[in-house]
Amino acid sequence: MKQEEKNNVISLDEERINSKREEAIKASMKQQEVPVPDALKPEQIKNRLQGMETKEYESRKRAFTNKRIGRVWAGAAAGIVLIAGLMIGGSTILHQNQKEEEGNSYSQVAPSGQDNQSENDNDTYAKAYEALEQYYQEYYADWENDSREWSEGIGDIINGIADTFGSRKYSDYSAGASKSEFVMEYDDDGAEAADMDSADGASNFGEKESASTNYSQNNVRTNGVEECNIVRTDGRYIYEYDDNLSYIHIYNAKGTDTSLVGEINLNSYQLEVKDGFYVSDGILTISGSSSEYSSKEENKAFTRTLIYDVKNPAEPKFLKGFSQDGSYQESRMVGGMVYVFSSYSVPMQNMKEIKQEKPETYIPKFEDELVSREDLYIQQDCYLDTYTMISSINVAECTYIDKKTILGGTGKRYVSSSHIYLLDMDYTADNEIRFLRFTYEDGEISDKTDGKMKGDLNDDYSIDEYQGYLRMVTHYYDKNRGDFVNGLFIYDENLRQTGSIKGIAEGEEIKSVRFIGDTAYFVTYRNTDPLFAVDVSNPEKPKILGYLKIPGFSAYLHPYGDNLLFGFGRETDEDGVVLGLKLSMYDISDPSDIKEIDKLVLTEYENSEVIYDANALLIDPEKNIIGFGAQGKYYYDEIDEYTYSGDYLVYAYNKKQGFVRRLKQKTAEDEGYLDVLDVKSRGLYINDYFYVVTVGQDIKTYKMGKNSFQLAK
Amino acid sequence: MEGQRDVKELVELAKQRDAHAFSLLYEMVYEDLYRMALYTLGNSHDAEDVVSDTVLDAYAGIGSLRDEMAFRRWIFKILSNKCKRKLREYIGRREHEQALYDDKDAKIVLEETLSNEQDDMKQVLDRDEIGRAFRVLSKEERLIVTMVVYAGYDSREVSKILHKNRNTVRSKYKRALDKLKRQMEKDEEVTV
Repeated sequence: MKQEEKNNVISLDEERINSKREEAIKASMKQQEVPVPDALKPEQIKNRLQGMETKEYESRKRAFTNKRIGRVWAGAAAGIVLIAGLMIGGSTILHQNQKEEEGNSYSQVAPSGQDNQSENDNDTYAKAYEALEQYYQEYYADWENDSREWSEGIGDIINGIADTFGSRKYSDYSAGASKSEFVMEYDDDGAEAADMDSADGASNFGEKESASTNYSQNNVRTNGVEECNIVRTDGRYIYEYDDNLSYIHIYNAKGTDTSLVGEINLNSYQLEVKDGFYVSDGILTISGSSSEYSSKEENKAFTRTLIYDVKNPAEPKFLKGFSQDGSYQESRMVGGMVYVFSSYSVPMQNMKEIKQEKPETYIPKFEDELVSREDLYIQQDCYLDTYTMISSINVAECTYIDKKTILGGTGKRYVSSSHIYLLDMDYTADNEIRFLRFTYEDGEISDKTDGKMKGDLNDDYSIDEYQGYLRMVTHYYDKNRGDFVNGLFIYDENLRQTGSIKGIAEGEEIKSVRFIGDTAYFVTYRNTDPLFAVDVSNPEKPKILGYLKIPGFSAYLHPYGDNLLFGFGRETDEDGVVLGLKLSMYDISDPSDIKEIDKLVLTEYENSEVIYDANALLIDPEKNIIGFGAQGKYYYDEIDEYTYSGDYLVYAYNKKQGFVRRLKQKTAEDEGYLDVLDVKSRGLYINDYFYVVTVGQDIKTYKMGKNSFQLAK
Repeated sequence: MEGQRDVKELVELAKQRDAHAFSLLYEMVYEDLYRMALYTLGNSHDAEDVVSDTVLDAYAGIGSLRDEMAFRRWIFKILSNKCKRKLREYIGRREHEQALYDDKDAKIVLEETLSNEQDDMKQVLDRDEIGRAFRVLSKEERLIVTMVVYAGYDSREVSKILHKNRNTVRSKYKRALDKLKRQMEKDEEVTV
C-alpha cells in the first residue's frame, strides 16, 4: 500500500470515529432526562394561552410580524423553491433600472389599436406588473444579498428542508382515498336521462313547496345570500359531503327511512373542499381547490367548481366543471348564481421568469384564458402578490356570467344582498384597511368603488349594509392611548363616513357583532364580556345605549324572537381560563338596559365548530331549536386518564326554565383531540323529524316531541 | 404521514387562535425547547422565561407560518434568537457589573445576585452528565451545539440564524463536541 493511500484510510477512519462520537454525544443529549418546570407543561401553557389578553396577543403579533421572522420562514418553507429560484436567478434578479427599461420597452410592444392616451389608465396588466415588481423589491430583494452571502451550498439547505418535510402534495393528505374507477361524464345517454328526470324532478320540487313540508334552513350571514354547508336538505333528501372519502352521499329523509339513495364520487378531482356545497332546484354545486394538474404544473393551485344534476338522486349526473386559478376561498349563492372566490399568489420565486411582455407569467386565468384587461383591478398601497378571482356562474345553465380579478382583496370579505366587499391591509397608513366594493346583480359584477376604514373586522358579521348605509364595528390601535380600542363607523352609499364612535372598550377585543335593524350589538372581551348596544338609527350620530358586563364571551350572536338575543361562546374565569361552552340569552327589549336572563355553562365541552363557523349552528327561534356539535374531554378513571368526546346537542329556550336540553347524541369518542374535532356533525329537521348527521358515519333520527326528542332510529 | 397531517391541521387550528391545538403542537417540542434553553443559558429561571416567551410569540405569530409542516424549525428559530439575545444580555450585564463594582451599595446587591445565580447554575448543570460537561463550553458553543442537537438544524441553517460564516460554525461545532467528549471522559474517570 502506498503511503498516500494509507493516509487516506486513516483519515477516513478518523472521520468515522468522529461521527460516531458525535452521534453518541447527540444521543446522550437527547436522552438526558431534564425535569421541565411545571409552568412550561403543555396544560399550563394552554391555560396561559387561553387567558392571553388581546392586548398582549396583538402586541406580540405586531412585534413578531415586524421582525419578519414569519416572512423569512415563509421563504424557507412555503416557498422552499424561493431561495433556489433566487440563487439560480442570481444577478438576473430585477433591479430598479431594469424595471424602468422594461417599462419603456413595453410601451413599444403594446398592442396596436389601443388608445395610447388611456393606455396608462387602462393597461391593467402593466399596473399589475408594476405592483408585483414593487412588492418583489420590498419583500424579496433583500434575499438577494443574503443569498450572495450564503451562496455556498445553499441548495443543500433547501434540499435538506425538502427532504425533512417532504414536498407538499395534496395526495399526501387525501385520507386514503383511492382514485375513482369512473369519472361521471355528461354523455348523450345522460342528457336524455337528465331530461326525463328533470320532468320528474319538477313535480317533486312542486311537492317541496307545498305547505306540508317544512325543513330547517342553513344559518347564513345575510338572508337570501346562501352559504355552503357540508350537510344540507331540500326537504326530501339529506346531502352530505364526506371529506374522508371525497364523496357526496344522498340519503332519503322520509321519516325514519334514511337509506342511501345515490352518491357522487369526487376522487378524480382531488378536490380539497373547505366549506361544503349547495343544492338548489335539483342542482348541486361544489367548489374546492384541486390539484389534478399538479403533475404538470407544480405549485399551481386551481379552483374547481363542479355542477351536478341531482333531480334523480339515484343517478346524479355531472353537468359541467369550471376552473379558475388559485386556491378556493369561499363562495355565495344568490338567485341561482354561484359566486366563487379564489386566491392566486404569483410565484415570486420565479420573478426572473416574470416578464412584462409575457402576461401569462403574472396574469391568472379562468379556464385557459387570461383575465382580460377590463376585468382586472389593482388595489392600491397594499401587500400585493396575490390576486382575488371572482367568477359568477349560472348553475342551471352552466354558464359563466362574469369573471373579475383583483390584485389584492385578500383580507376579509363581505357579501351583502347587493354588494361584494373585499378588504386589504393598507401599509401606507397605520391601522387602516382599504376595501373595494362591487355591485352584483344576476351574476353581473360591476361598479368598483374604493373605501378606507380604521382597524380590522372580526368577521363578516362585523360589517353590515342597511338601508343604504354601511355600518361596521372594528378593532384598531390607538397611538395616543398605546392600546387597542374598538370603534363603530357608519358610511353612506358613496362610502363617505357619516358618523362614528371611537375608543370603545380599550384593550378589549371584539368577539361577536350583530346588527339588528337600527341597533348594533357587540361583545368585546378581556376576561369579561361586555355586551354593547349602540343605536345606529342616525347615521351621523350613533350612540351607545348601554352595556352589560358578565364573565366569558359570546362568539356568536343571533336574534331569538322578539326582544331576545342568543349568544354562543365560552365561559372563562377571571384569569381567562376556559371553563366550558356557554349559552346565553339576553333580554334586549330595552337596549339601554340589557340583561342576561339566562346562562348555561357546559363544562364538559370546550370546543364547538360554531365558535369559528356560524354555518355549523342550527338555530330556529320559531321552532325553538338551537342545535350544535360540541367537543370536550372527560376523565374516565381516577388516575387522570382522559378521552375526548363529541356530541350533538339540541336545546330549547323558555323564560321559565331557561335552556332545556332536547337531545344529546354521541358522535365521536377518541383519545385524540384532532380525531374528535375531525368528526363533523350537523342537525336538521324535516316536518316532525330531527336528524343528527354525523358525516361519514350515520344519521340518527329523532321524533320531535313538544318537550323532548325521542330516538326513532 | 398521519403525524404530518396532524401537524398541518393543528397549525391551521392554531392560526384560528385555538389554544388547545397549539398546546398539542407545543407538546411535541417542549421538552427539546426547554433542554435547548437550559443547556444554552445554564440558568433554569432564564430558560423558563425564554421558552415561555417563545411560546407566546409563536402562538401570536403563527399566522405568518406558511408551511404548516415547518412548525418545528420555525419555533426553534424563535427560541434560538431569544437565547442569542439572552446570551448577549449576560455579556452586557457583566460589563455593567464591572463598572458598578466600585459603588458600595451596588456591590452588596450584586454579590448576592451573582452568588444566587451561580448557585442556580451549578445546581442545574451539576444535575446531569451533559450539564456538567456543558460548563466547559463557551456561550456561543453551547448555542451552536443545542441548535444542532435539539432543533435539528444543520451547520448552514445555524450559520444563517447566527449570521456567521458556515465554515466557522462547522469548526466551532466540531471543537465544541471534542471539548464535550473530553470533559465527559474526564468526569467519568473521576466518578469511577
